[in-house]
Amino acid sequence: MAEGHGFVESGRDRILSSVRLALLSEAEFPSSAQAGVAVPGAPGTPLAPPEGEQMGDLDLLEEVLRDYKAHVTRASHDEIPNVLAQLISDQPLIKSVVVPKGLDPSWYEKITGSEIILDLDSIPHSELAAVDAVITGCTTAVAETGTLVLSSRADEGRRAISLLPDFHFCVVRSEAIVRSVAEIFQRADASRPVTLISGPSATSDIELRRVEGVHGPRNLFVILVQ
Amino acid sequence: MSRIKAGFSTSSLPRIGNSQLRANLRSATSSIREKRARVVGEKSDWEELRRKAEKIKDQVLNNLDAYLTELERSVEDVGGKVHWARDSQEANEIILSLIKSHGSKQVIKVKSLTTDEMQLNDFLQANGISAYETDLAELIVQLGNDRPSHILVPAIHKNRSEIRDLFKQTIARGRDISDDPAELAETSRSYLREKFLSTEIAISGVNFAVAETGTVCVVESEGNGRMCLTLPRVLISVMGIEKIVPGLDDLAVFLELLPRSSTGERMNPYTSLWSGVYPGDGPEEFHLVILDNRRSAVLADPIGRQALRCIRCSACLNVCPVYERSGGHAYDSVYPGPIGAVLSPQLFGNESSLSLPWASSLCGACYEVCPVRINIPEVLVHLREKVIVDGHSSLAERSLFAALARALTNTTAFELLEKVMLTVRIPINRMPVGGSLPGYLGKWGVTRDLPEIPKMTFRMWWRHRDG
Amino acid sequence: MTRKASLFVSCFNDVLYPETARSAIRVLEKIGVEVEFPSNQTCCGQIHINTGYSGMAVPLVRHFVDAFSGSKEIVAISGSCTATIREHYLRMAEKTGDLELVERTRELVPRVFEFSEYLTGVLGVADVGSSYPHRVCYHPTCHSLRSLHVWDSAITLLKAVRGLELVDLPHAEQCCGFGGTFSVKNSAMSSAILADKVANILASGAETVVALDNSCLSNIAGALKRNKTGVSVMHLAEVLAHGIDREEA
Repeated sequence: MAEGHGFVESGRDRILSSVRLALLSEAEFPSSAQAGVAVPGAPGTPLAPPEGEQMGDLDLLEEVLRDYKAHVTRASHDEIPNVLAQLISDQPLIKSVVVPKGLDPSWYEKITGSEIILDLDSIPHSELAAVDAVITGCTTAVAETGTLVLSSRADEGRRAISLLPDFHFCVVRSEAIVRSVAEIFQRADASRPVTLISGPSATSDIELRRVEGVHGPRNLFVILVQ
Repeated sequence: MSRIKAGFSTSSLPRIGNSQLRANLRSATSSIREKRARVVGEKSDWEELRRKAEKIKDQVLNNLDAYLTELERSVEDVGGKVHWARDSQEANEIILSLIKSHGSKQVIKVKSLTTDEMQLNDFLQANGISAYETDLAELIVQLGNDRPSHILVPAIHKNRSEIRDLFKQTIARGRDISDDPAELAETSRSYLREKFLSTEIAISGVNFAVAETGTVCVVESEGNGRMCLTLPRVLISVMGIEKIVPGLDDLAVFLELLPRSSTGERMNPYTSLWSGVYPGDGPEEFHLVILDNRRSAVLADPIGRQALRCIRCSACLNVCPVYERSGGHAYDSVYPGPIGAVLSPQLFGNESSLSLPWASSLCGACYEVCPVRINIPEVLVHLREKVIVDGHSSLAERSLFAALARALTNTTAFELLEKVMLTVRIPINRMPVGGSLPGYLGKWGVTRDLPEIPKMTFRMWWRHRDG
Repeated sequence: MTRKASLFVSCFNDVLYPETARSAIRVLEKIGVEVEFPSNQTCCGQIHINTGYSGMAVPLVRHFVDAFSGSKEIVAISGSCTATIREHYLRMAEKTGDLELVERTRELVPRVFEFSEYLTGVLGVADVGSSYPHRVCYHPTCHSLRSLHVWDSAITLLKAVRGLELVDLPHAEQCCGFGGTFSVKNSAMSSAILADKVANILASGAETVVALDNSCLSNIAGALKRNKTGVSVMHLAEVLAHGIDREEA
């Protein structure tokens, strides 16, 4: 039809005009879909008082992280280097550790027995895949859901370095913690790539039962800094 | 014979008797139901969140043209390229030409129902491109030349030993593996690792797209999504026009609702968000394909349109007594279960649309758990009405209902009908039980006795008492 | 001043379960409610609406509104009929474009109550003085549970019945598989769902299954009888009417 006029409307314009047409037709149906419909509550759903209501954000974050199989260690700021060195030396599988360029160098200076690789955004993916561990900071963490938020900042690095190694060590400062998911974007800048991490990689694809460990890091260590 | 009688009631029939399927489904859905109830119970503001989500989605749908153009602008502002596709064919062609322009022969994929709806994999294969599914369940389906049967867990109809056997014949290359889910997951990890590292182009779906910032969001568990969204040089994401949220605060509402409704987790392991192209991190090229495929037609139906609020969580499947016994394949659509019964007829309008609206006892369990408050029973009844108005019910049924309606609007006629029933009550009550009776009575009688007709109707008794 | 209520019996109960209506009257009269039966009443239109013959049901809506126009409070002994009136009537009236009907419907719908809801919610009654010395389980029908939210009221009333032992019905909230014409249009599916309900009822050890809807109960009873289980079904009104006439000592 349009071709007959020597004018071809683009897919874009056709989609937009059929959307506009659809919205116009609504005027002919003044009664909304909700009219006269009883409002359901949620009977049958045990609405227990929210767990952890009395718990502080830091404690709640730790509990929820553990629930989803993350390893959690508490540390003071000064203890970070020793804690990281200890955690890494406890894992005989870790022979190499990649660190983002903006990570505080004092944090990894005590690590012995594993090679430290500073990522200057130039290591090819295939080489990163052979690295065993990564250490990052984090932008914010959500207590209610045990979620770590990374946003490609200098102490977190590009996404590939916290994805390919099998061990992820993430340092969370208590002042970075928020209560709920609703607060994430008050802290994280979405113009950068943002990754929300809640526990190690997992799948529920076989019989809907959760199994930890598929493609992402299978071991997640969180260092909570007070 | 009514055309409506065929379809779902026939396609579900062999599956009702399949005890292995039933056992797989029952055990999976009942465990997910309990998990969901637990994590939903933790959120004291759950109802408020549902209402917020409903409002946000309605706001988007009511102004969809404006949000679509806003999204287009913001995605292009951050270095993405937007493509518009009126139907599956157009979307598939767009994707094929993008792949060809890079001279690629293979792509990796993150689980995407929209590309399943488009039958993208078959289309690419026919054009010499291999598409590798990287989500564990999609991989299981792809390796077995099977079809998905659940929105979230496409291979829910298979249990661990069936999956073990499939892997042994395919990606394990004869290696002996156990049916331990962890070992099965490990098998897919080692098979796919090389694909993630060597493939140039990835294709994903979209869970949410933020109009204001051009941010696209993919929610997943395994890390295959992160691999596809981060490692390849080119990323092509496909979304239906309804996947928009206005701003980031709106997105946060859905990130609370989706994982709890879907996998029964407080939060899924991984959620990736990106805005166009970011120098030094991730793909160098980003394409967003926006697909209509009759969604705008659904938008024109003031009752049916609420189905476009769906965020594909699959909570409705997990609570549905019909889905639990039929499995997903009986719905003959990429969108099975209660949401499929309202979405598929509106989107595809094919033969099964005539029976799917009746594939429900209207028990309402789906509406109760829906995180965006889609009143599925209401839409089902509405779609039933449409099928009947379009003249697809049998003459016998129509006449029966018409006669009944006439009798019921005339009290004298109704009382006459009652008297007729009472005069034949003795032979009816003595009727042989079983499925040998004609029509609906026989259908009822296969498993159930009929109620006995008493000597006197209530209104006779009342008159007697009054007098 | 005596409280007056109009009973909506429903076509199904009128013909097949008059005992439920008689029981409801006994219970209401016992607690001092004067019961009327507007004799023009027939059917709420549920079967038509749910099967997709909504257009044919429009005159039924009008008929219902006419039949009960003089009633102050309307008590229905079917949860699904009550839900039909609440969920569909206004929308259907609006479709006619008859503003007077819309107004009358809008005014009538909030005056329709399900029986147990009327007793506990409107009258504030929990104990009507009945006795039923049997083991009973309660099946919350889908409409009463998810449209009307009257789970609590039935449980409250049952707990006050003398001698009644209320036992848990496993997976009580699951549908019995009836669904009106669903039971015959998808009869194999309906029967499969029903089979599980029956198994759960047997597992509960109850002698009697109680519900707020005789349509669901006729489905359940059909299978209980066919399988010669010896378990009976009863509408809540009948349980409450049991032993109610014995004068307290």
